[in-house]
Amino acid sequence: MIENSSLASIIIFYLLAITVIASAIGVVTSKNVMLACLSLLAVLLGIAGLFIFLAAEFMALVQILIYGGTVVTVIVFAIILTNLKDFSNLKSTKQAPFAILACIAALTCLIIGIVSSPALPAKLELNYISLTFLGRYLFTDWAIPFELASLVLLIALIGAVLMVKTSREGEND
Amino acid sequence: MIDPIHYQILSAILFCIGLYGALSRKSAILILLSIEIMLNAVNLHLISLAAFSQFSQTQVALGQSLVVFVITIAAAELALGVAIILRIYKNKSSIDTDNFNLLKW
Repeated sequence: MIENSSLASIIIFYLLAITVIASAIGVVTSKNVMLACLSLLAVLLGIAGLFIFLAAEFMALVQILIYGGTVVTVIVFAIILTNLKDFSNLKSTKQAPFAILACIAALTCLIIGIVSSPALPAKLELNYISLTFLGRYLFTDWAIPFELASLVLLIALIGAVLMVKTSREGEND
Repeated sequence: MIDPIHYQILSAILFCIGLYGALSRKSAILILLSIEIMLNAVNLHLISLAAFSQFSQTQVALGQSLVVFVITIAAAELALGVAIILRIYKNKSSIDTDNFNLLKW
């Protein structure tokens, strides 16, 4: 169990939340693609910190390994391979004002829904489950969906390789 | 103290920032980045509700298992998205979404 009501936990939560929100705004407004990608890394690592704060260490590890390690690398490779001329000077689209409107409308609806819903029956302490328990749960109750997810991932990766495979000479795309 | 509602509002804000990025960006890669932010907001929401759950340990494990599946599908989606972007770049020499109007009528 983790002490959740101390001043230190409040300070840590707000530091992480401000870091995550500021980096996320950086991702969606930055004019430089590489800067946006590095801001995304900050968002992902901040969310991993929040996972640790929520006593979900395994999820934090998965987040750092998969998102911090793989996703950002794949996106950097995509940026390098597409070799844009306007790499560091992105323009925004004509629909940006409408996007802001849609975003504010969605945020209003979500916050009204969150605030007006009855308070969740929350505990003061955080739940902690061991990795052993999670693994046993995942491989008994959710064994078939887990294997199906691995199959989906395999097929998606094979499809991705086939899609970007360069065709031989004389062969149509 | 930090209530579940703090995490709910944080994930709502993150989701809307990602939505704005997905709707307003011109470059296809940056739309993928914004979608990753939206997926992470949902993951944060699931984990926080699981962590504060009043029920048995199984509920916590359920929340974390759902996040495992979301991360798996997000990885598959990202791989396919990057493959589609590279393919379009090879055909059109551009990843500007304003040029992809093949399906427009």
